[in-house]
Amino acid sequence: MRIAARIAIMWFIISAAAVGLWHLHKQRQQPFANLSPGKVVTAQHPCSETDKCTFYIDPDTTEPVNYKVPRWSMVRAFWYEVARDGTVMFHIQMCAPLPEHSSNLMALRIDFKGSRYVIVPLYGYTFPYTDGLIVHGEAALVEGDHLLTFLPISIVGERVLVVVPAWAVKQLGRRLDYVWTFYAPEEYGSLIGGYFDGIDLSGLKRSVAISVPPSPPK
Amino acid sequence: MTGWEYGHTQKTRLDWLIVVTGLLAIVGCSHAQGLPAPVPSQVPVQAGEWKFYYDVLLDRGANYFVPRWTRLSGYTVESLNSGYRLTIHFSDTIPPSPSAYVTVEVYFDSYVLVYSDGGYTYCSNPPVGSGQAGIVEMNEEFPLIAYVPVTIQTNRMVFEIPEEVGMDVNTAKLVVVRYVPTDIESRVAGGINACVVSLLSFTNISSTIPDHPNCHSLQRRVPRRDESLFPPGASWSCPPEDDDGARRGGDYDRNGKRDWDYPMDKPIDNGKMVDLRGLDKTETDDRFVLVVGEDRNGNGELDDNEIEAPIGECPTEGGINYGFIDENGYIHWINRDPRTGFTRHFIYNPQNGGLKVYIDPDGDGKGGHKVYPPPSSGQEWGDPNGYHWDWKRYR
Repeated sequence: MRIAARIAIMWFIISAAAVGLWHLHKQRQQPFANLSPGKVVTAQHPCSETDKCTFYIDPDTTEPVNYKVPRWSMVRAFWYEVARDGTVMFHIQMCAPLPEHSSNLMALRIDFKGSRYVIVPLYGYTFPYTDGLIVHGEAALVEGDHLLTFLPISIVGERVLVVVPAWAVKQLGRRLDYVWTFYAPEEYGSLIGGYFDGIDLSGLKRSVAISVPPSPPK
Repeated sequence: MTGWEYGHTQKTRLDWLIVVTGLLAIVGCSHAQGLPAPVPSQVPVQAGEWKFYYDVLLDRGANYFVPRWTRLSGYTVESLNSGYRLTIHFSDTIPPSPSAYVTVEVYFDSYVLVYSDGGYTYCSNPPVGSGQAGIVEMNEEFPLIAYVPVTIQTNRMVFEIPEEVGMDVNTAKLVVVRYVPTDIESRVAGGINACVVSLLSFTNISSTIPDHPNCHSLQRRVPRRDESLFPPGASWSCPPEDDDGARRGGDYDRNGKRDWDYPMDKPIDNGKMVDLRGLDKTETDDRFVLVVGEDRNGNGELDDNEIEAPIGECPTEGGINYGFIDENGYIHWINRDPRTGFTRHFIYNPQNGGLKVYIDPDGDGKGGHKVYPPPSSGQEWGDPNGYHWDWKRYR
């Protein structure tokens, strides 16, 4: 009986230690304080069944010009995972598969607390930063208007994957704030003033005012 | 030894046995989580190393083997009668035809010397094909300045740079080797750009590794000269966080609570200035208001007593907003409700001090329509103070 009790106590201690170690391990794998790996955050409104219609303002007439916002430019969900070696992979799922090419303008952006963000110009735009250009099909980690490092991306169907190598993860902010999509028709020629939408990853649910890429060359 | 002592010793041993086996099991399990990819025993570790990549076909992380020769071991420059000789040293013998895409790049101030191999084409204009080397200017066009003779000598690549190219070879900043097995290149997230396997930096400054030019035709356009009202990368929230730079100012909406003044203070046409205020309303529902005025005391800020009118607002809880100056000098403020998509677009004209407001109840297929000044008024621009501001109704 006594032996059984001892075994039970010892296994209780071991189990507690195991749980502690497991949490330590999970903590080591969680690079952001506010969002766990694998947790899917969806847009506040569901993907629409059809393309949307919105407007931009013609700068010469200051009158609205309507245009369609395709479903593939809208964000459905966001999550990330951490590889064994510490590499972080951000997944952005759109409402429909992205086309191979588009003559319109589109970019995605992942914001961190502070002024660091990952910019992903997908179609028709070159982002001028003080340390170089980011053309469409590339991704980069940026602070203010400084380019910190390019990042690998891939587009498969409706999903955009941004890979942050383990050595670059410490350059990201400790809190994920937003994932944004920006879209504008070709004739408007700028993402500033076009369609934008985002998913709040911070969980703060505050109103937010943002700058829209790109900052034009000075 | 008494019976008790014997029994006690036995029990203590049993305790330790349980603890040790349990801990061993835990250590074993937790260690297994962090083990690197298995290395086949027939490949000596010193012959190379494994590189992680994300396989977009399998939708998970994977590894490929990088041979030792790709590791950079040196870089030398010699002056010749008619130019320069650049030698890049590797850690092992360079194979004649690698079954992988390989590029070797030397980055200078505004040029890159590129060598391509394994069937890979570097998409400059015109391209640098496999087995070729060339000097490419680093701008949006990626023009090829000259092809360069290259010879491979055991573990060295030797480039002859003609003097006519006019490149200052002493400004080299970075040597980069990219390597990816041909059969998996299309599955690697980021393609060959993500496959940097060796680096040699000549500066202490951390720099970015430029990507290869995109092989699809570059879509180039001149960006419109619109300018964001916020600093690049800024993301201000209401109520503000510490690093938003907002400070408590006056009580703009006169509800007995001091409001927040964000560090915008942007000069615009006609001697005016726009600024952003955060109105302290309730625990859950504070409001952005964009205001315009004149910096009469010249302190570079729009003080409370210098505000003339509101020209934009965020009437939605958890709303998303941005503001910009368009190329004609008009001030725009766009507010969007992330739950419904309802969009408000405010336009301020600094020349006549007028305001226009359009709304778009998103998804109705009709786009935007004007709500201020009311179309029935026949006016194009309205008085900003005459608009029915939501923040005034809601204290």
